[in-house]
Amino acid sequence: MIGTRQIHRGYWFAVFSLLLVTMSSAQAQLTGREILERVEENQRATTDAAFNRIQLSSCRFGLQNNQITCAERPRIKAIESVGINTGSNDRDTQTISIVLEPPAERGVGMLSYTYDDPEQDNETWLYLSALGQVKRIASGNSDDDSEAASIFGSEFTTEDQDTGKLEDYEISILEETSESGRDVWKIETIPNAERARKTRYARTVQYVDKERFVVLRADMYDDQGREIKRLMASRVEQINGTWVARSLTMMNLVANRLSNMAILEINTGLDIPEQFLTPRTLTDVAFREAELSRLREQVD
Amino acid sequence: MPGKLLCSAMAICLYLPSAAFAQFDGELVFDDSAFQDDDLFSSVDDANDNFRFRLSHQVVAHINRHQRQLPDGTTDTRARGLENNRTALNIRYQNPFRAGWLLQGSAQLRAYLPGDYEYNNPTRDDWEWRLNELFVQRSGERNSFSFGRQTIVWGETIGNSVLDVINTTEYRDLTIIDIEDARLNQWLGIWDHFSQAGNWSSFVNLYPEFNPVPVQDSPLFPGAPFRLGHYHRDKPLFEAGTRWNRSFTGSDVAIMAARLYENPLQYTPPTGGDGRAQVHINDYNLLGLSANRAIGMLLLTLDVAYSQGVLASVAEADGQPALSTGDLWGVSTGLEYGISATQQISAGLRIEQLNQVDTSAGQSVTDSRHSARSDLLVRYSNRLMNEELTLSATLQSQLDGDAGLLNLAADYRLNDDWELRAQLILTHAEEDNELAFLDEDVRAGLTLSWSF
Repeated sequence: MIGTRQIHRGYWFAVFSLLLVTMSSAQAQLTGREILERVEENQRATTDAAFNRIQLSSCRFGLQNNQITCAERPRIKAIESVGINTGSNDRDTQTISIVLEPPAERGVGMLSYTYDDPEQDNETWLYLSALGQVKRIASGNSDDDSEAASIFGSEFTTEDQDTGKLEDYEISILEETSESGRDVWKIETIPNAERARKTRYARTVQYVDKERFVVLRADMYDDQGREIKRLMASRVEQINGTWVARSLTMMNLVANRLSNMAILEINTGLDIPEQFLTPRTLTDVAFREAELSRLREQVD
Repeated sequence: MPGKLLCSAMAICLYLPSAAFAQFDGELVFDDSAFQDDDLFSSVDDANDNFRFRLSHQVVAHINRHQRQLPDGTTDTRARGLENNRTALNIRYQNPFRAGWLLQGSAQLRAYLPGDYEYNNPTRDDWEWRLNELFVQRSGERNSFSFGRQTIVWGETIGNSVLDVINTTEYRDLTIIDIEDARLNQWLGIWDHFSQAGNWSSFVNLYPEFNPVPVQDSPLFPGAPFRLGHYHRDKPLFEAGTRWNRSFTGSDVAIMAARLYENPLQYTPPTGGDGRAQVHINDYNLLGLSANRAIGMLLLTLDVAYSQGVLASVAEADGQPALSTGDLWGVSTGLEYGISATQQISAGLRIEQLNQVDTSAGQSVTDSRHSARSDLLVRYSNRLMNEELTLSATLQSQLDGDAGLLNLAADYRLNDDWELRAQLILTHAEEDNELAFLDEDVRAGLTLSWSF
């Protein structure tokens, strides 16, 4: 039996080694766009019939001994987020996020539709209980040097969470290097003329984990070549077979303000009706709470 | 626990040098452990009681002593002095008590203290209670029914939409700038039907109410030569309306129709010797269209209202004021622009014109809407210090500049529960304007709020 086991081990080791060699060879041949498509597949996996619980914290930051830290008490929001992937090949994403804390903002909600097709602008609606009304938010498809809609007043914008529209970018691998102790591809994306009119970032440099296809860092530059934002990812974990960064920190280097998005819970593969991802959910509390209770029962 | 997180974060709230562009060329170390509060949602659940309270105290004073012209040609001195000195408790209750059911209510209690214009008001006994919302809602897969005191918002343009006519409003003093703070609700039955083709929303109101009359001696009381009374119901009243809405990529469009009562009530001089003005109630038909369009960071809004059979002010041959009927076209258009994550600006323009006024021989139309009345609302806000300080400016003005109000406000959030608001309100009006009694007024106010 032992001999058989050893033979089996030897066999699987050979297969695994071959697989690794094949993968390494395949990865070596991946283009920048193919890498980013893999990254986006991972990203979409977290919104695929998903119910997530997020802590969104923002503060002005300072630098001490090359260590970044909050220079003031952070403002903290507790958010429940529900998402589904739709469209052809499930490449469009619809997400709705509702604030639970602080009490003064409880019930404020945001609905976003992100389209893969570059011809289709993304859409965002916001519900403010004081207005008693759902407001469509203009979200950064302008002809001027503007910024996309902020997510609940944080440094994350709807543009930062976008997926798709990769054909609107010139993508090139700058080098293979390391970041946070991991081997990464350093990939530069430059928007084409059409996309450049719709984004604040004239150039983005992303550090993509070569094994896990997760962006560990992204530097965003304006059209003057100045770095205006930096995204740092940590707590990369495998959830349902997909590598996910559970902590994302966006630093606004102009305003010296950062926001951290800590994904405390990720639950995917849930039964979420498409009609839940509509503006109705923002205003119809009875409908929303009934569906959310059903989702909470599925995950708790 | 959020508290634990705040404390640990506060422990590092020392002065740290600001980061500059050049400092970020190298490797940075960031410890995100302070941002991982695994108990956050359990504490949310613990705190998930259905009540929310806001206790506030407000002090507002008129601070510009000046002379002003009275309608009879004489002048008087507008003195400095306290106008508001009051404590208010706002209560909000929201309870999804069973799957698909919701009970929601909100109310406010105000106590008037010495110096407040409502203090010693014989009708109030120095305190007042008001129910704003109280409704029950049942929502299913495609339909939702709600009944009770609630709000209907039809217009897209915030603040001065010509379609925001279903709710009653009360601007009792100048510290209330926002329409959402001035809205009173009505007893309504609402049915919403949701489908892929669009949403239908219909309402019926079996007890229409009207804007309250100005409170005597309040800052917005013009000093009427006769008493303005309430409408005494001598017949059953009802309002009904329906709205169809559909969203397209980058745009929402809605059309609506309603049968409503004109609000506020219209008055003509008393005919008897009691000094009470005559109250006129009038029903009319409303057809409306609203739309928005997102173009980049710019959101454009448009509201159009056609009101058939509204009351219009006319003068008899002998100059006596009277009322007739006409049709009113109204257009509100606005833009909202997000300058950055922390700065917003919005502007709205409203234009109304009265047409086809029925006049008999010798009558002439005196209604200010007969020659296109228009007004403007501009708001700018900037959140600073990690949202702890919000500076805002609101300008509300007639387009011809005859009357205007500028509200400058600073909201300082001491923590998640305590907030301090400072306001400076400046008003201007020409002599012949109906708001002339507010000309050159300057008010300063402070409001301290505690939410729990």
